[in-house]
Amino acid sequence: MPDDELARRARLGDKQAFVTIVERHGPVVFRYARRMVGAEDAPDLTQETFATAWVAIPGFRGDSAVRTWLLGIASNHVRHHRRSLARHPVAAWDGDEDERTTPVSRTPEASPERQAVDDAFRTALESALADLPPLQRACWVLRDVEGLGYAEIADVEHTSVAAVRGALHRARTSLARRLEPWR
Amino acid sequence: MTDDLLARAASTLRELTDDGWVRARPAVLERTLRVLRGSDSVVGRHADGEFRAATAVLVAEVRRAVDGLATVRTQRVSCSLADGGTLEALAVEVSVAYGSSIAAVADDVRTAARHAASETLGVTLQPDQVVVDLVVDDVHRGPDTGA
Repeated sequence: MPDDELARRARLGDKQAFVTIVERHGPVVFRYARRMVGAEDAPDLTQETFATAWVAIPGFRGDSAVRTWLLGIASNHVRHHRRSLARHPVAAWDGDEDERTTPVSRTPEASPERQAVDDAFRTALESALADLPPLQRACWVLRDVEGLGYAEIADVEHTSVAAVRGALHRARTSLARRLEPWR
Repeated sequence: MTDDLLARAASTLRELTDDGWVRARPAVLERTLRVLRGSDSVVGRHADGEFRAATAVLVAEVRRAVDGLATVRTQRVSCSLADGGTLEALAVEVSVAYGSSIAAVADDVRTAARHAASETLGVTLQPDQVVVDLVVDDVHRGPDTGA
């Protein structure tokens, strides 16, 4: 069933239709949350995003894709999260600690040496990503990991297409420089 | 993105965080199913007296009934309540299948909406008790037009 039909039903109170939306778009919202607030807070932020979406979907007119609309809600929660951290600072996020120890889905035949290289690359990538300014990180994740268009990213991040292009260029340049030893 | 290194980086992240979603999914679904939309309550009746139901429940039931008509898709349903919370009117916005008779559809929608409200609230609602305002705000391809 297409997203707009699911959204129509959810708008009118069909929770099962909304659950299908959660199942369909949960992974992308979670990936975005994870990159923006870290592994520890990503599950809560994802829950908040879908809880907000359920309440707000009666006002969703379908002007944007459901995925873009959900990511926009997630982006608002990321901003709120950042403001909360500024008011109540805790240890700064420095990449995803649990991902450093969580096995990636690997091919069974991957050698220990190959796994070690992959883990080290992943650690370097996490560190490089964590050092990017939030808008650059968001633009890179949404464009290069999730495949959103520039206009969609601008909607999600409440900015202009030109700002997205600029942030994405700077993000790619920074990441390529940081990961150069892995080339 | 033409840089192989950055392509590898993006691919790495896609693979990693799918595992994270699998772990987070049950809690996200559980929380989602618990969230309630705020809404007014409407008065209904059963054998032991009155009860109140959220208008969101009534809207969902009306949507289900109207969507059961072959040529109609419900777009919005809203309720007007009198003082005291009794149902006074329903406003139903629909899309109708291209080529269908709007006059006939209007009758069907009104009947289905009023019947669903009666079933939900436990009272037989006559046309002079509950007005069903209908807005046809779109058309769509129907079953016989290849949709």
